[in-house]
Amino acid sequence: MTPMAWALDGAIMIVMIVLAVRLLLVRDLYRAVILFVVFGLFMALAWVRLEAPDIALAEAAVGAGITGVLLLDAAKKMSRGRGEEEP
Amino acid sequence: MYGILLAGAMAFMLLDAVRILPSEPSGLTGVVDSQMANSGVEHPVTAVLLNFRGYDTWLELGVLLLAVMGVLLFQPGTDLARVQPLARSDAVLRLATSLLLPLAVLVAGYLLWIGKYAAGGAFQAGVVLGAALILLWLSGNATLVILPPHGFRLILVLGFCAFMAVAVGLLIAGQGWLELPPSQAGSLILFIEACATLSIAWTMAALIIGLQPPVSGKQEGGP
Repeated sequence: MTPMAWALDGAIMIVMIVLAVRLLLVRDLYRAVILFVVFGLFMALAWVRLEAPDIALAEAAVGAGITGVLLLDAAKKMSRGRGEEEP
Repeated sequence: MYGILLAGAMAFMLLDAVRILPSEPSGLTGVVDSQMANSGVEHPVTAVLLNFRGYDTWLELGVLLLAVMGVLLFQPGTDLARVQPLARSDAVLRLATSLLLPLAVLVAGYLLWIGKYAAGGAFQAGVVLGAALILLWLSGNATLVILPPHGFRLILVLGFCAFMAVAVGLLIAGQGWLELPPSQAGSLILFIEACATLSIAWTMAALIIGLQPPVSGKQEGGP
């Protein structure tokens, strides 16, 4: 592997670990969902680097796209429910 | 504290697992490569998903169908006809949708077709098309909702039923269970994938849209 490839793989790995830790520690659900979507995009990049383009496509579309929309919808509903309980 | 311990143990086990990985790739790679000529497609992943391991993919479509049925059961009338359309959104989103929608349909068709030769296929194409439908819905266009309920349900079950039709048809023709004859495998796979793409797209859209409150919904937010 060339130094360039090493640097790229290392950067993807570090960003993913940082994102995962942030994602677990953040309190705000909305931010957590956004971090999850970004994590999904980096996961897709990692799959591309592992020479699995099929999984990368599915990860980008399902993991980052559809799941993100579903989670955002759920987070919105949860925060609305909480708002009604605490007037 | 326990969390850090657990994370450390987990990380150690993962690193240890990497150490004992076999250096030579094992598994069924060789078998798949030797049978590629009979699969009807040129991409090994598509060959495994739609031909060698078609039963699993069929049941995966069944799982998707069950999931969307579960969501729609919370809707009165089990279709999207009573879902409240969103208010017309701002001009920017509408313009972006009108520009992106044809492109998304084109990309979905391309992914479906390229699945025969390279990375792509029904699931990827279906999700892209589904995202386009969700974008259409978010921009305040009610086209999806006014689709006749029977047509909507038909599209949802299309992929599963196409797979089943192929399986039963092959049984009647004297083949084994989901054993695609090499001469027709390519066109059969394309047929199954085209139907599955539509089903997956509408399933994804229905998963999002089906969760919206109904028009006459007094119990807002649902159960």
